[in-house]
Amino acid sequence: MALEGIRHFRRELDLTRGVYHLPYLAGFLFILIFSLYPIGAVLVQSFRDRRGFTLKYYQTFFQDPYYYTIIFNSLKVAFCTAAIALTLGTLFAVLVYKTDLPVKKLLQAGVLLPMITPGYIVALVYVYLFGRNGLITCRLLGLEPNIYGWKSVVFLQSIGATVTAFLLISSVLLTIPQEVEEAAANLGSSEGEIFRRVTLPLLWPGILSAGLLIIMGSIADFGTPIIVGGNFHTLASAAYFEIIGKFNPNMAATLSVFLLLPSLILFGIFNRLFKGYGQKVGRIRRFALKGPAAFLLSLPPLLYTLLTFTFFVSAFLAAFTKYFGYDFSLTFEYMKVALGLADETLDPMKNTIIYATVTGVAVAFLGMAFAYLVLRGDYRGKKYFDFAVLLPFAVPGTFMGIGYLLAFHNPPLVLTGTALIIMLNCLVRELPVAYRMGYATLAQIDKSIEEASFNLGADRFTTFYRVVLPLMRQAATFSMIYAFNATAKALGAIIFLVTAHTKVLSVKIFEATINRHFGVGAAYSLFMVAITGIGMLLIWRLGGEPLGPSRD
Amino acid sequence: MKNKWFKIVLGSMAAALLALSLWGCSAKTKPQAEEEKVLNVYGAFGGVKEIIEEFEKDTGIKINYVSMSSGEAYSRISAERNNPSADVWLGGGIDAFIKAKEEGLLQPYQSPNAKEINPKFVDKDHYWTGVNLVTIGLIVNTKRLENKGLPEPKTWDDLIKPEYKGELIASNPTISGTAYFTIAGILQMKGEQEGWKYLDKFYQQTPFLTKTGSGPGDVVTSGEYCLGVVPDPHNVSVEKSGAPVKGVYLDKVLWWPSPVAMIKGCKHPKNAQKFVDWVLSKKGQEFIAKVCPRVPVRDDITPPEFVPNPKQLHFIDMDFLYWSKKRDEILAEWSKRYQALVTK
Repeated sequence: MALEGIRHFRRELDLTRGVYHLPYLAGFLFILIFSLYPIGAVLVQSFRDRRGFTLKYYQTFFQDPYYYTIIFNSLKVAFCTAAIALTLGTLFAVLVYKTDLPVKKLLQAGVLLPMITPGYIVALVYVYLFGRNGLITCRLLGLEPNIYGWKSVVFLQSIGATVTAFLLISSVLLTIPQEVEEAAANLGSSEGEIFRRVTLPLLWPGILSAGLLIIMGSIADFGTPIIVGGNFHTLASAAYFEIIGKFNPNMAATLSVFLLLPSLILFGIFNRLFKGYGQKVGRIRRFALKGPAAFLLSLPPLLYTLLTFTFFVSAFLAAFTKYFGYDFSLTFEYMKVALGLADETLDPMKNTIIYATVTGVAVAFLGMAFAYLVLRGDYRGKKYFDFAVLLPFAVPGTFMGIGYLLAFHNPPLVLTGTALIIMLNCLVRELPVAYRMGYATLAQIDKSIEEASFNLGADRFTTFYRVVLPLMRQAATFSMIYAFNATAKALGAIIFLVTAHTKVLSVKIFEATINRHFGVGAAYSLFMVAITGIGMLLIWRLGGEPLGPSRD
Repeated sequence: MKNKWFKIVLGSMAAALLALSLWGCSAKTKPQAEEEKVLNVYGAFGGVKEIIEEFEKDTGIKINYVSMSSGEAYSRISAERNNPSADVWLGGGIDAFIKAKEEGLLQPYQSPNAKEINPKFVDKDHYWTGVNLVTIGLIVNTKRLENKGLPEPKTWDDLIKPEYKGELIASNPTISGTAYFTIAGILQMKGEQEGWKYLDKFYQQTPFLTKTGSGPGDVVTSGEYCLGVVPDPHNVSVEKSGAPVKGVYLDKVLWWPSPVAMIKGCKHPKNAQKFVDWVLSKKGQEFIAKVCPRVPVRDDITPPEFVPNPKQLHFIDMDFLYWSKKRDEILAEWSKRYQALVTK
């Protein structure tokens, strides 16, 4: 794949236009070194054992029907999660940005809260609400369900995925100008018809992009099946335990190869379905949603909002009560301990803020730039480039971390022990979301604006900075928020890359829980909530809040 | 306004990247003739923070540590094998250490203090040395037991009584090292033939198996199930956290050592040896028993409160080296018998 890409580049690279190809070449090299090389370093292990080349791990895979079952399990969960998250995400995006419902601010907070709520708190509250001894299931309804299975995996994954769907679909939605929908209204269409026949098709690139990312992310997620999966295994959880429980990196690499296959196939299908509509950018039109329709449509998002607020408040309860779930008497003990260790947490907090900020900014910029290179460029390797940018999203965090260790611990490029490697790792892993946001947004913007810029004598760089990037402002803001939060919370991959000097807050939380200091861990988590919450609001401010007065 | 924003963003990004790459270059340390007073430690060990502070106070050697599970530590040490970042690996599953020895990731070291330690807890080639013992017992939700009107189980045979059906949770031995050695311990205690018969009944009791060794503790603490088979159940009794759970040891105690080892080719071998000597010394062991309550490996130290005492309880004669050699065989048999049961 890489070789073919290079060959394409060669063919395209003639001297007269050479300077225009520089950004493509730089982008390609970046992805080659920091994404394909480490992923490749992990995957080649599937063909290796102590003596050299072997296919025995593949033989094992094909001979054991167990592996077919878990491939099916992974796909089942991924598609269910995508269906739920896309429905909710679309609903939230439309209600928040295209109606004047009085609750839209509340809904917006509700859909975004899981981004700053610590993941383990969400899982904990889920068990205490809906488990066999749960507040709702057992004490309210008298049921004793065994919740450990695939449905719980779908439930918890959907909460993270809904945020992704909401951000991606919103960034496309906010570029749909009112003229198109107004034209439809003038022709006598009802609001429902406008939504179905005009708005929804225009949202399609956003929905497809979100769907692809959610499915890839779900297949790569090993954490959720471990916590609430019970006997239910997925390809990712099996691969994780091959390496973590059985110390068999070769079989783990083999499973990862099969983990990537569905993503590759889906990528092909989605690209066929993907169709951009050239739009002139303008102001947003709002739906006048009223009566029973408004009630019916906002009911699921409201229930969901109730849930996410419960999760969020529980993060505070866990830190300020004696024992979450049993003893809700107020205590400041944990916070006191956590603050008393301030000299220990100050550096991790500082690191977290620096890494998240740098990664957030870099991801937003590179994501938009790569989207521009792929959509507006006219070279033939771009399909491969497109997939190479997305690939890290389909790779479980642990493997990305090990890949970085294998690739950058020895010459020629030694980066281990530095802060740079942690940021690069996070950057490459969060880039796909930003890139797809930019891609879906740009696909909706008509080329003629850029052409006008060219005709006025601007070169490509100027056009990108001064014309394209401002048009993609919304996608850039959303992706910066996403990458900032994801980096601040990252753990799975970077546990392989941190040192005592580059520790981050998520590692401190992990250390507290491993030593069974759950209350202190919860108190640390609140520091994390503060960092991610403030970061999100600040970026929002800088990028321009679409609900703010400037746009209305 | 828009343009200004993007200029600020671009400018700050360029500056940040430049600064970071400079930082990255300067961070590479030059080779040193004299060993610095520094030691890099990976691992998962209770009370590691206090242990490190005490060691620094005693020796003046500064410890940089990163906590990670034994699987993660093994994978990281293995990926760094040509240029190790860590000097010492402290605590975690004995299976990970045995595997690391096989793969040539460890450096043998015979501490002078090791002679005070029962040879059962020490690798015969001195690649690793036990620091304290992991013990297997039950975590019990007393409130749930009371609500169900069930007595507290006292023996391993109690666990397979019909009244506990659906209330017992264990972890999956094919993916958790803790669970594997628990199964091995049962086979050791009952003898292989009787052991498998016992396990046949045991897995009739469990509605599902968790993927991690600590998983059963979580679902018992949340009040969803009565009994969970876990390592070091006494921890919940020590903590007195407020949850209605307590640790219970059955008629026989299964155990294995939690080791310390030096990494092959490590950069601070002298400091690493000092650390190993310190954790095995009488003073070190007394301190560790305080901050990480488990059975000490030295006979001259009494186990702290709630920790099972080998002089009072029946610790089985566990041959964990034998079981770690037979691991593939045992797990193949396990999968043949129970795979269908636990993937439904």
